[in-house]
Amino acid sequence: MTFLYDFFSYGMLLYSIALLGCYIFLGSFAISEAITYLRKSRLTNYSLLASSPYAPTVSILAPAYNEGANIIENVRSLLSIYYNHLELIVINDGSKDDSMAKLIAAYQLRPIETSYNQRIATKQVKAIYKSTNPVYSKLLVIDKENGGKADALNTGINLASNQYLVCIDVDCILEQDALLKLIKPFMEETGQKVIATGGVVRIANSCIFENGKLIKVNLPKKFLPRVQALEYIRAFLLGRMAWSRLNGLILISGAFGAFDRQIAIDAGGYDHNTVGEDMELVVRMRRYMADRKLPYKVAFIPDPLCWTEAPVSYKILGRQRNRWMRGTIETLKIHRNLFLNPRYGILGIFSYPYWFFFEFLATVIEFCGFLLFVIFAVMGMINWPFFLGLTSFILIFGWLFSIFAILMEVITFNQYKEPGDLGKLILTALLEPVLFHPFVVWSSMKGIIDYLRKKKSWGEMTRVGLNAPPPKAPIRNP
Amino acid sequence: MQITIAFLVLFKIGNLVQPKHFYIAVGCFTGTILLLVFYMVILLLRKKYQVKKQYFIQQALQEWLVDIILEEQKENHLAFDVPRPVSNLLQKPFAKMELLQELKRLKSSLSGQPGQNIEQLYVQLELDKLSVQSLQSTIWYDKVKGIQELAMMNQMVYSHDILLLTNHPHPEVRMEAQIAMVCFHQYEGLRFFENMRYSLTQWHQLKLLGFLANHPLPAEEIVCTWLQSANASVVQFTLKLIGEQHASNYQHMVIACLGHPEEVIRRQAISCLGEIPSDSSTQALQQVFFAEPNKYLQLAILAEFIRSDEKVDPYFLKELALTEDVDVRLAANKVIFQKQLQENF
Repeated sequence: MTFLYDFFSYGMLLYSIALLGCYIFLGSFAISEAITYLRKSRLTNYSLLASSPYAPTVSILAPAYNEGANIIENVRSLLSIYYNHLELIVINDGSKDDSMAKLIAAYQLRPIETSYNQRIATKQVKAIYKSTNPVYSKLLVIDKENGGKADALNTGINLASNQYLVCIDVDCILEQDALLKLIKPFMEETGQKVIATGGVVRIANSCIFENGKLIKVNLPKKFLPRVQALEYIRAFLLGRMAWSRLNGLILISGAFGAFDRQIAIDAGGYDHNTVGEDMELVVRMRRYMADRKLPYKVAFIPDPLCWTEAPVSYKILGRQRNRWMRGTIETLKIHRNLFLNPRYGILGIFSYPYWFFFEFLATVIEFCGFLLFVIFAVMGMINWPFFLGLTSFILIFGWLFSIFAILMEVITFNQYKEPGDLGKLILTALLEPVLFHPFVVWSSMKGIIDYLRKKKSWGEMTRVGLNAPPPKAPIRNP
Repeated sequence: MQITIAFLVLFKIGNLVQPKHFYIAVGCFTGTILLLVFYMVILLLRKKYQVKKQYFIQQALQEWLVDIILEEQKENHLAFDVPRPVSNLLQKPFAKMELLQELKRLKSSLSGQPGQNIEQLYVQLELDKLSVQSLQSTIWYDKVKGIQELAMMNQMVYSHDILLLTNHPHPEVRMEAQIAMVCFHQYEGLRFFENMRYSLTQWHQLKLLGFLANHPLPAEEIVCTWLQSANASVVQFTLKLIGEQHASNYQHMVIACLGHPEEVIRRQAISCLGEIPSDSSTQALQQVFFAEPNKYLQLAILAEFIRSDEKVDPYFLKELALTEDVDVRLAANKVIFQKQLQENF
């Protein structure tokens, strides 16, 4: 038993040191990448791209399921985006509410006859609509049978005619210049083909919106969205920025990302059989390029371009984290032959193992560690000075990492300018390990159990709505 | 065996790591956290102070700058009056930098006499020296800033220094230098094409086209030299220029590009022929269709047929409409449908 205890204690220590080492490594990469990006961005006039006839053509794909409450405003917001060569494809994924009727009435839609090649198999399309009003000439609405988010996006990909696809959640609010910044990396490719670009998603709770436009950024007032705001800063500004620098990024948020349409189609489009379709597509596109020995890059933009509503209750948050964990496991399983495979370069050597050991396995280790701790404590085997030392070491490093993320935010985009916001963020970081992190671990653990039980559902995600009184219809339950 | 080794490793580490080591690390991390928080507070206070200072300077300069912008052309380029409070303020480097920023903002939205007044003021106050300082910096973003300022303020006297940077290893520096050359001399500025060691990115081409779109193409032999360049991006850019200006006199050369080994050039040539449509270009596109190895370029040819009003050989289209490839068949049917519509119309 002592043997097991020692293995547990020192194993935990080694794992923690490896994890912290990775965080330090990623953090240092993120700083230089973010600062270089900012310097470059300050010297760039993006408006040239908006008006140039040589700007690439873009199709926005926005799948919607039971979004009737806000669909009109959300589509209006997307139509007002600052970009010339644009088509907006809204895919009504068999909504049971009045989404379609509202769209038809508000945007004067009429069914059109069009022929397209169904390069990716999807559920049946009932009708395709276009507006009779030239003001909405960029809008195309697909009404289809329910098949889930991946299926809806694949339908959009089949119908899209432009060079690049921007896949977003219809309830997200984009900054006016979001597309200009997201598309630019595709135009800067030299030796490596840019296959996808990811953008930062920020938490919109407590922010002020008018006519689908962001008017004022506020730090979320409630603890749960606020801690997610901090989590997103850490994940996007430090994590993804660093992976982008290493060209090892394998996750582009489903809420906001751009893809080369041809590569997405050639790679087979979104996988219907996973709830982590966003991550799975990026990994598959990367494999597609690597298998053909084509040099490629997945870029990332640190500007806060997309605003989304975070879950405000533990119940909804739990469902979200459960789904994220299942999606991670499914993707890791589908692409298991990448693991430490030098043929895939950084993807096989660093990205995949990182996700396996520190995104998936971290939950298992933390959970088992807690259980073992309880068992050893009951048996009186705990070396308390060692335990307290190790715990405080890990805890304080976590705080240090969060504080570093806040500093990065202050140096770069400094979105939260109200007096006291900095203090609130620091306080949130201090409370996170007690009030937020254990719940996330527990929800992810439930995700692992649900995965083993072969549960496939998304889980109902009720949202309060941005600047809207509660409640709102569920957004997805295919 | 391996498990035993793993245990041995762990125990060895175990003997090395004592609780006091953790507390030392905790102390170091706590100290770092406090330092970071302190730095953040200082940073925020500094940002706040700078915003206030900027606002104060902008207020102090506003009326004076408005008068200068509205001033009519001065005889013999007489200097603008600088009131004493403004000249005192401009003794401070921060105020001078702020004025430079303000002039750049104004210049980007003004042309004609107001634009010239800003240029004149820029030189009069020797702000060009600040830009040259940036230009001579070894830091890439300072260099870019300096080039942008000099180009914006039309400081052609520095064009030789800028020309030397058109082959700079940093992509941003050489891009801004090349754009500055075009800004100063239009097509003549493109003389850096002769010795270009790097490719022009799509973004770079878009910026250059923005400057050249309203200027007629240079002499035919120059355009022909560009079209025969070994640098594929130069050929691509030239094809874009020809397309943009609908210069149908280059049609034969564009058609020759349809057989270029580089895919990007063939794609651009197809698109360019769409901008200068004629019977011969349609025929050329039909002829290269089956020889084109890339399916997506074949689809691009069919897309150009849809856009164009020119007649396409119906036998060619019927043959394609029976092909096995769904995408090509679909595109061919779309062309047939479009051509029937045009005929009926």
